[in-house]
Amino acid sequence: MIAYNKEELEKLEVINEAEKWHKSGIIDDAQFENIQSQYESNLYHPPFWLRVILFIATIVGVYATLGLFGTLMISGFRNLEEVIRVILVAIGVGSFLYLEAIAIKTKHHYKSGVTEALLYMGISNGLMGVFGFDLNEYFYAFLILLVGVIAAVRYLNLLGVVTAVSAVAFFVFTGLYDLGGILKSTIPFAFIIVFSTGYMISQRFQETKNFPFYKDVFIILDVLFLVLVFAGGNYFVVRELSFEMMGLNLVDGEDIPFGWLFHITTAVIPLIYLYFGIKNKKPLLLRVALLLLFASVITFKYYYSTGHPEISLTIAGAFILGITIWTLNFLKTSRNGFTREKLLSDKWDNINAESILVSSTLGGNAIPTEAASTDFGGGEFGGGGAGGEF
Amino acid sequence: MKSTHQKLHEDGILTKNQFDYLEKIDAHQIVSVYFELRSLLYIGVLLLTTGIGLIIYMNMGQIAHLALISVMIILEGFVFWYIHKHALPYANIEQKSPTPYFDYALLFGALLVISIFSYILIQYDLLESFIEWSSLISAIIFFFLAFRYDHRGVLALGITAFSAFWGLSVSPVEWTQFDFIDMGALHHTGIGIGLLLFLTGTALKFKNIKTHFAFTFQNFGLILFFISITSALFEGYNWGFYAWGSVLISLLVTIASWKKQEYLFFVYSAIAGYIAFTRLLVEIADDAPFQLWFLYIMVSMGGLVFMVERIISRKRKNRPV
Repeated sequence: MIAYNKEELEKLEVINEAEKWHKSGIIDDAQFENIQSQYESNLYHPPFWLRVILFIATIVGVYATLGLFGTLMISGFRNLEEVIRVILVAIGVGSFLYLEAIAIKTKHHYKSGVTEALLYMGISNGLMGVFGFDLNEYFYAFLILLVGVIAAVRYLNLLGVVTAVSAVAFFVFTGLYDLGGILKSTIPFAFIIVFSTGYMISQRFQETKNFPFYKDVFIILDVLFLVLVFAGGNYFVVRELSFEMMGLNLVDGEDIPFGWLFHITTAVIPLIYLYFGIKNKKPLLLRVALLLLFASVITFKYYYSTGHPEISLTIAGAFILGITIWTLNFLKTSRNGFTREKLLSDKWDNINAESILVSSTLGGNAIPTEAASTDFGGGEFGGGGAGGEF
Repeated sequence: MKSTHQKLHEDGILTKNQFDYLEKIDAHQIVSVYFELRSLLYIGVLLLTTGIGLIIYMNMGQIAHLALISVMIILEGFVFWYIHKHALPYANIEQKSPTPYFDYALLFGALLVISIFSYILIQYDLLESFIEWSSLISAIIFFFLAFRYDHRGVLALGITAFSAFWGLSVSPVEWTQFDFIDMGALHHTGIGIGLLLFLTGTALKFKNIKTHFAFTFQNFGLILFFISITSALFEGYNWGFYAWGSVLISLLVTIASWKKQEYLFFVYSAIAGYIAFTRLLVEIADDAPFQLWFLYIMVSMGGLVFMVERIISRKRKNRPV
């Protein structure tokens, strides 16, 4: 099923794990060297920034090819649309052939930037070639689902997972919407039921069966399921979609049907995640729960604003700091297996990234909020941080 | 399939202790909430300083302002007392945060400096005459704090403030909105400050002073330099000079960064160099049929991919970031 050579992929995984342990100081230099030489993989998987440039170069290159052939061939044809479609499909098929036969087979590329670019080019050009024939929208959604599943399963592509899950969400939503009547208003509950079931099944799969190379795929899958369950029960989402899609009109003081229920689900779902995250010691669930708690708070703030954002922000900041400091103190010695210390270096554990984050969010935001006014004859200015103007 | 640490243990590479430890992590017997707590501290500081900033701004000119500024100064005093109490003595190497809160207290203190400055400037109507100087003074304070207490986030704030003093914005948020295009006469300043920052980083590395700060300096410097020189290409005035300069320097940086495996800098210089080279080519061959341009892009991109592929497969492969 997997396009890449499994043995080599396994070796690469070993080296990646070992790199993490080495960075976290679990194994020493000699051990790391030893592992590196024993598990030397022939897969071509360059460092992140090289993957970025390979990705850009491949996409620009493929489009230049498209432009070259397109402009050479188009002149002289009367049925332009067909010609363009043929070219698009040809480029799509060509990308796939190159990806399979050359990039992966002979050059042993593995997620090298080139593979992602060829995959996306193959899919998007191929699909653009066949789209627009006024076929059933379910058929298109099905095509997208299929493509997403193939990308995820065969090429371990994470965007493929997102695409496939979005297609499923589309089926649930549009399916019930088209059936109409009472079924229309069950959409939120259908979302909660379908995707929480999906999450359980995915959990079960991961516990009972072993999918060594699909770790990241399952992470993305789980996160998407959890977020979609939350979205299904979120008051803001339900309310806005009721206006947009169902043509609901409310008079002042009226609430959407079952408004109270969605208030509860908005507040409770992240708390349920948090509870199970702590109880079952699932870091992923914990992280998603924290993010969704913010989303939940923002939802309530949106409808029940005090009109004093400055006070809310200050209190929220103080509250979060308070809770965090309390937790840090509470976990001074590890409890129930939870520890405040760093165990393994994360993939994104990069202090350089943190410093860039600090300067772009704090430096950029803290000042303009104070300075946003023109009352003080200043217009825009750049206090101590990054200013708005050059 | 066996897990990686199990396999390596059976191969005799991992010791029993290491295996047990990794097994515990793998089975979620011990779970680290290090990143979660740090993110929360960060968000807390962000919300709190933004909120305080807003409160100050909204109550400006009211009787309460003396009380407010006193509260801020007391808070700042408290923060620096905490920092002073826990600080480690200065060292040229990277230091671990002495307490879990130390880094965030320092960040909070630094942001309060900005709040206090803007407050004073607005309150006493000094905005127009002193705005740059306030940037410069905060930059100096930030650089001092960053070097003394070893904090890369505050260092980045310092660089941002220092560039703001020269009228430059180095916030990535604004680059994504393509604000840098109309830099006007600022590209000289940008090129100069970019070079200055880059050379500062290089000097730190060379002199072995806080070598982990080098990346932040070099990164900001190179971004500023390449964006300034690239925007100078499209200003019309003297652009040829900048184009040749950009091609030349990009080439140097490309080679140097490749050798040192600093691939982020390789990406910057490759893109900037390509733009400058293409700009020159457009000028020379502006009456070529446009199919030829497609061919040029095709060939150059193919060449780039081929080159990256070739060089890296001859050297060590699979070196993670």
